[in-house]
Amino acid sequence: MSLDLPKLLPQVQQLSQSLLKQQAQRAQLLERALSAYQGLLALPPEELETRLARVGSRWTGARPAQESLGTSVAPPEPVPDLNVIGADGSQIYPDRHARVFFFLINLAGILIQHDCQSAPETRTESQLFFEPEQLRYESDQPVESAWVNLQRDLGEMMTLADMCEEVHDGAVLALLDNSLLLWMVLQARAAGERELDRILKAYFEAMNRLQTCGAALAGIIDRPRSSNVLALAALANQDVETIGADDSARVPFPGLTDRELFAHLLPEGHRSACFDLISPLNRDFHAVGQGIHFFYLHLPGNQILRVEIPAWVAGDRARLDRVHAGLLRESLSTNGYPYALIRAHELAVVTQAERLMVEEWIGRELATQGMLPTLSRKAFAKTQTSSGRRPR
Amino acid sequence: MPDPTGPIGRITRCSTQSFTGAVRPSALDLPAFGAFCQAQDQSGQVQVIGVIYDIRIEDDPLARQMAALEDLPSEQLADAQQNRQAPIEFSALTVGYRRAKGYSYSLPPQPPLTLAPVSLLEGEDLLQFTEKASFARLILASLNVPAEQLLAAALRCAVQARPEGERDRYLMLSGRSIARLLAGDLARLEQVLGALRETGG
Repeated sequence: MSLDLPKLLPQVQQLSQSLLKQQAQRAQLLERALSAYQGLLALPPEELETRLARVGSRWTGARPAQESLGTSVAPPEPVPDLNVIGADGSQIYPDRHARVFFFLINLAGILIQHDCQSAPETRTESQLFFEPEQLRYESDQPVESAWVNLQRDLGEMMTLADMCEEVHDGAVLALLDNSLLLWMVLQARAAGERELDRILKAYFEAMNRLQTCGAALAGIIDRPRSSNVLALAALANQDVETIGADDSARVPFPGLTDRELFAHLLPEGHRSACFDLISPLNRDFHAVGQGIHFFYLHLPGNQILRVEIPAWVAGDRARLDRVHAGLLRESLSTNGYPYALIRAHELAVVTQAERLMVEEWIGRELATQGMLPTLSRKAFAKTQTSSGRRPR
Repeated sequence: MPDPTGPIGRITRCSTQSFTGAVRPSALDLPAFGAFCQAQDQSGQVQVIGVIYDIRIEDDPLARQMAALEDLPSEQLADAQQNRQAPIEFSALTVGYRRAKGYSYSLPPQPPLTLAPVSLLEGEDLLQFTEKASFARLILASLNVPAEQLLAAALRCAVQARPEGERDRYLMLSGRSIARLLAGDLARLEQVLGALRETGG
């Protein structure tokens, strides 16, 4: 134990007091946000459009889609014999201090047919990346965690598309435990534009395949931290003459999220209206017909999920209802999170013990070839000092 | 060595005294308590014979949460029983071994190999191995298994493997052997006989 407990304990108590104070402040902020949201609902659509037109291109927020803003949609009828596919991925990140520089991606999927007596179909695919061209960017820089995450996210979407194309009977709901916008593209810029374009193209192709085979695709975000609707509400209440390009930096309701807003607005089982997402990255998605929309869903257990869907789901009421009804059905037994995603994660996750096992296998295999790579001095030193005993 | 008949699983850990294997429930019927099984030892010359004394299915928070539900969706029940429970673990107490010369009712020189297939001991092999009730010695000597229950279940398994007309005689002869083994511990003998009666032996 190296923590200074006597000094830490008062800080823990201060943390608790601070949270209590923040809670009271947030309640006041939420009152203001709810009032702003009412202002948004009262604003004529053309005036809202005027405001959206004046705001700068870097502004990120929600835009009304086909449905009226104040919509609260009750649970639709369950879809009989619905096929739900969940996909997830996990990884071993490249580590320059390890014996060998490599990375691993583990992808898993599960196909569950509702009201069926037979066990769901599961699959797992593990791939090791070790060739020089897989481990270095064009600039010769070694790949980073963000690049691995990007490849994993692409693999998850491709797994969904592969499994969806194998379903021949019944409607399909395809779920990811993630935003559908490939945010990792923004974090893996070191890979270079050509590589990122290649990844994006493959991602769009997989989305196209899902669209073509009739699936309803959704990305699920639990405990979402976004405030896109709050940003729109703030914009609606702002004097139109003061709106300009610098509004992208405004934080109208600091710390507050859409989740807290919709927890007050949506009855259990209901979903909000669908919104389009205005963001620079989503413009690329819209350009190829894969623009991302979203809604909020109040699940049992007082859970508010953000559900991201492509425009072709938002614009197709049957697919949209399939997402809504399917998520409610999937969350019945799990107190508020889709069963298919819980199982996909369980199948995909690479545990610490498995990571050590893979590293040991690699070490043994190299030894049989007469190679004896070593840990970096830093990594080795950590193995010497992390046994639990902490002398002062 | 005869080829094992249809493996029921593979060994995950073992010692000379016992071995533990894993099996996917969807692949075949679960092994039963008291069934005889066999696995090859590390030399490849010896078939280690055991009696299954424990079958274990672990739980986790998701299983506990689902168990508490009134209406569990059928597809999730099938998933939990056929996919998530895998692998089911079974443990066998070593009761003897076989090599070219025949059967021995003592501990083998070496344990089986990790991931060695485990198959049930059946047919003629089971009849030969259980011809003498000497396997009872290692069961009764074991401190870590429900010995009396296990011996009764193993005897029952051996009885069932025999033709109807031979069963009473086999049971009587085996009973005598066990009575000799437990001559100094009548309370334990009564427990074995009681367990035999309860299992219909």
